[in-house]
Amino acid sequence: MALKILNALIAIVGGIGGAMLLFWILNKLSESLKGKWEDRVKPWAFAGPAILAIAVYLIYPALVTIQYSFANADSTGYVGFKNYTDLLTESEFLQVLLNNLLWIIIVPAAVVVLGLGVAVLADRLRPRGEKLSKTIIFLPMAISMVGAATIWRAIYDYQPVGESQTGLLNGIMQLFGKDPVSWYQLDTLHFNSILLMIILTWTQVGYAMVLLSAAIKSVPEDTIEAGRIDGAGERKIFFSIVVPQIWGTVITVFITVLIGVMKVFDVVYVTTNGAFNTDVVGRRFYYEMFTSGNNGYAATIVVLLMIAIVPVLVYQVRQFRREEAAR
Amino acid sequence: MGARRYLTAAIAVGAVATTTGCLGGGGGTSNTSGTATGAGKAEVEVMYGFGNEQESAFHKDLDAFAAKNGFKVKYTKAGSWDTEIRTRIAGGSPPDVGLFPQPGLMCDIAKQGKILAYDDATVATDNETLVPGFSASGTCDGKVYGLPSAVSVKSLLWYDQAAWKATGLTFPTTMDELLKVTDELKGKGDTPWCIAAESGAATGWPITDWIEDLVLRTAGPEGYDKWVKGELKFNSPEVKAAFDYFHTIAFTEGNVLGGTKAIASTNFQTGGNALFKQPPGCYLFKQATFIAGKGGFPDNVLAKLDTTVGVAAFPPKEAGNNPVLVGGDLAAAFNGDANTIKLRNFIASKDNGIEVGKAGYFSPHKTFDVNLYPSKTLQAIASEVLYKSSAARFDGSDLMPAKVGAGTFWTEPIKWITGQIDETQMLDNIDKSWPTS
Repeated sequence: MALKILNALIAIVGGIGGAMLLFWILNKLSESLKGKWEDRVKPWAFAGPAILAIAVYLIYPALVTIQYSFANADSTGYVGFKNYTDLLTESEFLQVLLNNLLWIIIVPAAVVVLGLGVAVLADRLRPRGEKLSKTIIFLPMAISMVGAATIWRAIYDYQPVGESQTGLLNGIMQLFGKDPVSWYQLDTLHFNSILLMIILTWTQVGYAMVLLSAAIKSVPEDTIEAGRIDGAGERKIFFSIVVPQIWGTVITVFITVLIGVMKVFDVVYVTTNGAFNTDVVGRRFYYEMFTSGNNGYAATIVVLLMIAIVPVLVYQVRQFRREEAAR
Repeated sequence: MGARRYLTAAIAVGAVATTTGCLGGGGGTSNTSGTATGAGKAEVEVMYGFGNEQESAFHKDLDAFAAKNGFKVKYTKAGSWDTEIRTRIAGGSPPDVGLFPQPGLMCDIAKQGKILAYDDATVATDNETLVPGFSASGTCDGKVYGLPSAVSVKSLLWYDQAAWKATGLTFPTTMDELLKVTDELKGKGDTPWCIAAESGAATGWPITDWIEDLVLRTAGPEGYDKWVKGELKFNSPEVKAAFDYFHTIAFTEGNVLGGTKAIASTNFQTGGNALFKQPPGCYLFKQATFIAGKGGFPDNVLAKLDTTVGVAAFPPKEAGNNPVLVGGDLAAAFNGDANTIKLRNFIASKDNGIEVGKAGYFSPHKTFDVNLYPSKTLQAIASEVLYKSSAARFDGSDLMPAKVGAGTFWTEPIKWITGQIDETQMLDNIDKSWPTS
């Protein structure tokens, strides 16, 4: 044990020291250049290693993934677009995409609306009440997705008729003399997927609340007062004065949650493992990669996901720039 | 340029270097050559994937043997066996002895020449006392690479002694009788079965145990071997017969507590608790030995295990000729060092397992003193089910390619049971998913 700690310490000191030495040498080398060249080279000397790291650990794997998506299950030969056509014509995968679409439509919107609601209402409480309610709503953020999914088991749990029900919802059903319902199996109109979305929403609302609450508090009081003087009602003030001023934060929260939702995996994996028509892209990727050992399908799914996420990222970066420019 | 800036930049890059770099982890050499040679290592490393009481009991058994033979044993527990053993082998530093929970992976590694076969004399000696079928399950390409140390029994039916007595029925000894008993119980207005297949991300595996036990009976042990290798398809008549039998038991209205919907939503660990209700929620429950331990049946039932819980072999096709489905660990050696071979052979021998047996895990050797097992229930399982069986077979889903054994064989039957697809679709889907290479 002591040896391992020592080893780790040496690694940290050596790693940081080595990197310091590298930057020092690169700096000295660029300083040794004459005149303009020093200014031209120096930024690259410092940004270079980081760019190199991104290229090696991010860009290269992404390119290889794209390459593998055109190859067979064990990446030994090319199959053209077969992986894409196979997946996109498979009815089950289309259901997976539909599920993901539902997640994308419902969860970020629900998170923003609920987070905004809580932020606005908590803002009107006395400081102590505000702190308490915010803390409680923020708490689920501290729980891992797997933990959250396991906790929600206590709500959705099912025992056969006649057994004492351990799940909250079925406990209530029992109280009213109804037969227990197997919630995860209710796939009419993807109701079971919505039950899973509630779990993710529950963990994310706190995040939205904190950011939006801060934004609301930074809305200048005089703009609201001006509205009041002009005779605007509460609703008018909220939608015409507060919301436009926090719109940037709303977009940021929405997109962050959206990207998280596109990659959703843990909640579905722990609760149903994609059974009963609740599968999503993230879980299907995991299944193809680690259970089926089908590199081709797995890579194809990742590429499709990448294609879907890129526009969102581009939009977010643009939005960020616009805000920076407006400042 | 302040030193601060160097430091921040350096920390950033350093963090990348340390988290991705490969620290520690020595080189080591792999020895794939010949038979037992050399003076014998002072320390033999054993790697395994099990835990609980079995782990500490296993240590005691091995330590006693090693002390007598003048060497030490180093224990390495793999949290995730498949991944860790593959990594160790790929890294050129495998352990000396490995306990493989799945013969499938072991044979893959045997094909790569990374483990050594047992010599014929040892196999012959062990075969005298092993339950028939065990050495075959550790055989790859005609040579025995792994022999079992401790096993668990899956082909079991559990019931409540008092409740069963009250029904006045004789316990079924054939598959036909089992169906008859099911009908009789239902005729009296009782629910005969509890079936539970919910297991979180692994939902569906308890159904594979059901089907495996049935295939072992409808297709026979030879057919079973072909089936797990993929030579006998899921939609072949022999295998379909097993699904049909399961269909009769599970799908018939009134046979299962809560109906088919309940099967996929009832947890496998607590699914049998209704046996012990007043009045009983059901009368029969199929599950492996572990269910009679902590986390399985309710604590107040376990406290009076021997007087409350009844257990019997899952009935065979014809009375008396009873195959048994097991899970367990196969001991294999990664090098020919004298002490490595000695230890491996000991682990697989009938002399091993005294402490492990006391902890409640079965020795695969028929000569083992059953009185060592900690409860009458376990003693009955050993003497009445395991040691009387005509053929032992390993869990088939562990032997199949993971895509089937931990994939479609879990998911498709669940879809079938919950009514999303019919039986033919299910069987075709599983067959289609079988890797072609």
